[in-house]
Amino acid sequence: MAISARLAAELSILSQTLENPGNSIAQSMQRLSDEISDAVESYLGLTVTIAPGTTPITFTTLRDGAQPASVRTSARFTLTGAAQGAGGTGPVISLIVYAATPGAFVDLAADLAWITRANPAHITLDQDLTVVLEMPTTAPSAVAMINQAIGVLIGRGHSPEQAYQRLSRPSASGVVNRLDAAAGVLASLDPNLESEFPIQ
Amino acid sequence: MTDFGDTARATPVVLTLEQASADAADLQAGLSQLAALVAGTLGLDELLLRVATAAARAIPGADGAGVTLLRIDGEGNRVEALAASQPFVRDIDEIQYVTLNEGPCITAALERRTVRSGSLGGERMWPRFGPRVGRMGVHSALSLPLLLPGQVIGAINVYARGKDVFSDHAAELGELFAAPAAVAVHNAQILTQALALTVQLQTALSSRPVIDQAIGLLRGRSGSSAEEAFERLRALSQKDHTKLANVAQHIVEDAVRRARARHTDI
Repeated sequence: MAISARLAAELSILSQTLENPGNSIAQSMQRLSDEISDAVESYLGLTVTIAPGTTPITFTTLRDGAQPASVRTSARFTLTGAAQGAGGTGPVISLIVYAATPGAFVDLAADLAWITRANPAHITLDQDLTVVLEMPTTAPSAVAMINQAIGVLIGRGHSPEQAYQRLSRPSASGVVNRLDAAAGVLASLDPNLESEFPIQ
Repeated sequence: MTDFGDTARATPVVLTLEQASADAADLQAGLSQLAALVAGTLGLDELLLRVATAAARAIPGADGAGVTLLRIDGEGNRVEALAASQPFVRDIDEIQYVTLNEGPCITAALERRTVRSGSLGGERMWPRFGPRVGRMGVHSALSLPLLLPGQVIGAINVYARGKDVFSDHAAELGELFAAPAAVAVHNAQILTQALALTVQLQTALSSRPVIDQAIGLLRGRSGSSAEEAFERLRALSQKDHTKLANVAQHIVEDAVRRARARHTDI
């Protein structure tokens, strides 16, 4: 499985927050990829999408040498029910797997639907044939940047809600771009950098 | 030991109609259990236990059965999960995997074929395992590899106290049982691994926002880099033997309290 340097860095950041960082998220992703590869010969890779709020976070990894253009079939499993707590308020978590041979996931999808008693609507085939390798604005590093900026603003006397509103203000062009706003807040910490978005 | 990979060597078995009918009913009951166990979402351990119990019921003469997931590599055999329908099966498998690293399951998994013995005490194939298990009063063993295309993921081990209990017919029934069991077990492994990954991500992502907010607070106060602020948080966590997320939560809550007090004062 090929994990890009960027993805490895993102997963490393996330793994640091776990109780047992030695059990890294990258290793878990590798094991899952290996298990699916054993079951489906033409397996190419997987994407995990987590939507804890309005900003989904996406991880994609492909097998060594696999090309996104080779994808001919996909299966999306929505794991929300299994992963969330008893309160039923967990994030929406989806696992998308890709393969080169049409129909390759029919049996696996049927078996997993049976094992999990999943609603058929929670397993969809061939709806995700385009692999998105990079989603810079929804990567953990981008979300981290926004949260760090909220922390800076809290330190300056804003409540968390005010800080979020501050980052959500439209720019002069009328566009809301929290990532750029957060970059501006963080750049203001470094006197050597001139911020695009000076703190008001 | 009999090698069922070579069908020419198999001994013809003559069954009475009643026996054949009873065996078919037991196999059907075992396969029904196998189908039923995937009707609800099970943990891998529970699923393996149910497969072991169903195997003991499906295979004629069995006194107990176990299921082992085994990863075989250059460094030896690594047991990844183990379930037993009876305590004596667990004891035998402990001897096989932990004490001796020798026995029918390891042979079945390594050589990807069904193996059996009707007299473990004198079994030459396993000169340490056989006599030791024979002294426990268990004399017959049947091991069925759990096969997927191109690989073996483990084995079902079936034991009986009597000698020469497992006939060719029993081995054939066992192989019929093992084929769908391998798929069920492997799909459960995939599901288990997918859930483990999502729980890890969920845990990490739920605590990450407050950690990043604390990093931002520390950066704002000290002008340090994100890496330096994170290291400071980690040092505080280790010093106080407190979870990183809890340290961050405390820092953020303290700052929010002060920010709100400032607004109230105004």
